[in-house]
Amino acid sequence: MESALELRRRIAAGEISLDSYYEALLSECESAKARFNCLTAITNQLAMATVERLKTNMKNDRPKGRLFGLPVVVKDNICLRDYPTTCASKILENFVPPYDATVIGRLIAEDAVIIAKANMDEFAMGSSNENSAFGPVLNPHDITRIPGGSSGGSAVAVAAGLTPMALGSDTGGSVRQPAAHCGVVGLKPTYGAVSRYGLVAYASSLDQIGPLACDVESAALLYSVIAGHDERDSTSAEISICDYPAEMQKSVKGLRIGLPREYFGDGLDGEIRTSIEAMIAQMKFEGAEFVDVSLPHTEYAIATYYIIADAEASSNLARYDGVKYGLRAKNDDLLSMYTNTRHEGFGAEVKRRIMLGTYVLSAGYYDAYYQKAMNVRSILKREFADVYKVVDVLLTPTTPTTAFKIGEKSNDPLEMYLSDIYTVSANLAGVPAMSVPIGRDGKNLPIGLQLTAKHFDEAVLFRVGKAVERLAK
Amino acid sequence: MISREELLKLAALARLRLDESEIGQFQHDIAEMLEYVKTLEQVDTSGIEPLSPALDSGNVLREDLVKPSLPVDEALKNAPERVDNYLKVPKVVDN
Repeated sequence: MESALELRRRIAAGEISLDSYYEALLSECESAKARFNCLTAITNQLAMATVERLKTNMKNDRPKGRLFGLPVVVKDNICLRDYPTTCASKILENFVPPYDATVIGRLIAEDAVIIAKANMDEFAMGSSNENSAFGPVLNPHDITRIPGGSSGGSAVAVAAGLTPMALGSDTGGSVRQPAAHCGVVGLKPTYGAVSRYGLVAYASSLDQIGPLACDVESAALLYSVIAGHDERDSTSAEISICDYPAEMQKSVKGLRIGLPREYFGDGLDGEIRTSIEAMIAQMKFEGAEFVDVSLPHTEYAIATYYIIADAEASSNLARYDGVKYGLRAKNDDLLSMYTNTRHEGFGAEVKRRIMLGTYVLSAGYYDAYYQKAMNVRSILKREFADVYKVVDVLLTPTTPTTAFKIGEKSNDPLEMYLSDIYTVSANLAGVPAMSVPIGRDGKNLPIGLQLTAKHFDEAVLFRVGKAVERLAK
Repeated sequence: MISREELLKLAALARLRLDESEIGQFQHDIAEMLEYVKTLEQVDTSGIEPLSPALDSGNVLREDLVKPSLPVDEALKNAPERVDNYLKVPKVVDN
C-alpha cells in the first residue's frame, strides 16, 4: 500500500480519477468483507456523496484538505451519523447515532472519504476479535489465525490494502496488538490527546482513539488531524501539534532509548526477541544510545488493568437497559426488561467483565480490589515518570507471541488477558505508545516493536518509528 | 469457585440474567480471575496516594449557555418505544 501522503498527492493532482478509484475500492471492500469479515458495513452512499463533493471542489479550484480524497475505515464503536454504530454487539444492532463523533467531523473537514465501519471485539473487549456478534475477523497473513483485537477489523482493512489509514480505539492494547499481528503501524496517543466525544465508552480512564496505518508517516498524518482539544470532551487536552514530517527527518543519533528488562523475560517468543535484538544493533550503529532500565511493577499491570477496566465497564455498560436506544427484549415488567435485554444483548465476554467489575466494586470488596488497583496504578505511573528522567523513549516488543490460532485461547479468559502483557501499562500510565512492524517470524507472521514515550511526546515516537521502519526494510 | 448464591447475587446487582451454562462457567472464570488478581496483595501500597486523574487539568468549567441541540425526533429516533415526546417503559410504580 502506498503512503497516504503519496496517494493524496496523486489524487489531488488529478493523476488518479476519484470516480474510478472509489468504484474499484468499494467493490474491493465487498470482497475483503467476505474473505476476512473485517467490516461491519460499507458506507457506499456516504463515500460516493463525499467523492461528488471533492470533485466539485477540484473543478472550482477550492482548497484541498490534508486528507483530500483519502479513504478511511472507522472502528464500529465510533459514532458516524446516520449509519449503524453497533460496537459489534447485538444490544446495539439497530442503533443509528444522530450525530458524528468529533474525530469523524475532523476527518470530513480535511476531505477524507469514509468507506466502511470496521468489525471489532464486542464493546472493544478482547484481544483476538473472536468476541464479535458478527463473527471472528480473520488475519490476512494466515486466515486460520486471529488478527488481534479489539481493533482487528481496522488493522485488517489496512493490512489488506483497502486503505492507508483506519481509526481504532485502545484501552489496553486494542490498537497496538492487532497492528503488530497484522503487520501495520498502530498508535495509542497520550490519554487526552484525542477527543472521545462520540466514542462508545468501555473504560473511560483508559480509552483512547488512535490511528492504524500502512506506515509511520501515514499514522502521523492521521494523528495530526484527529488530535487536539475539544470542548465536548472535558478530558481532552490543549496540545501543540509538532511538525511531524520534520521530526521524521531526524536520525536517532544521540537519543537515549530504554530497554525495560521486565519486557524481555521468559514469556517472550524467541524469534521476536532475536528480531528486536537485531533492530537494536542496527539502531546502535546509527548512533542511538541504549540504556537498561527497570519498571519493577510491570508484573502487576495485567491484574491492575482488569480490575480497573472491568469496574469502569460495569458502570459504563449500565446504560444498556432497553429504555433509550438499542435492543429491548420481550418482558413482563421493568426488571425483566433490564435483565432480558442484557441477557440477550450482551455476549459472554462482556457479561464476564461486567460481573467481575460488579464484584470488585461491591460493598466489602471495594478496598481490597478497586482501591488497591488504583494504588498500584499510581506506582506504575510514577515508575514511567521516573524512567523518562533517564531515557527519551522505551523500546519493547508489542506482544509476547505472533498471531495465535483462532480458538486457541477462547476457552481460557486469563490466558487471553495475558496476551496484553506488554501493552496495558501505557494505558494505565496514560503515556503514548506505538507499534511498528519489523519483520516476520518463521511462519511468515508479522512481528511488532513497541515504542513508548512520555506524556504528549508523540513526536519522538514518529521520529524513532520512522527510523525503525526504514531499518526493517 | 465462588458459590452459586454469590454469583446470582452479583448477576442481580448487574441486572444480568444468566443461563445455567453461564452460571457454571462464570463461577469458575471469576474465581480464577480473583485468584490471579490476588497477586496485588504482594505490593506494598502503604503511603501511596491513589491515582490522580491522568490529566492534571483540575475541574473543567464552562458557561451555562443555551445552544442549539438535537431536535426531539432525532434524539428519540432510536427509542424502542415512544409516546409523543416520551420514552415508553413498563410500569415503574406499583398500584
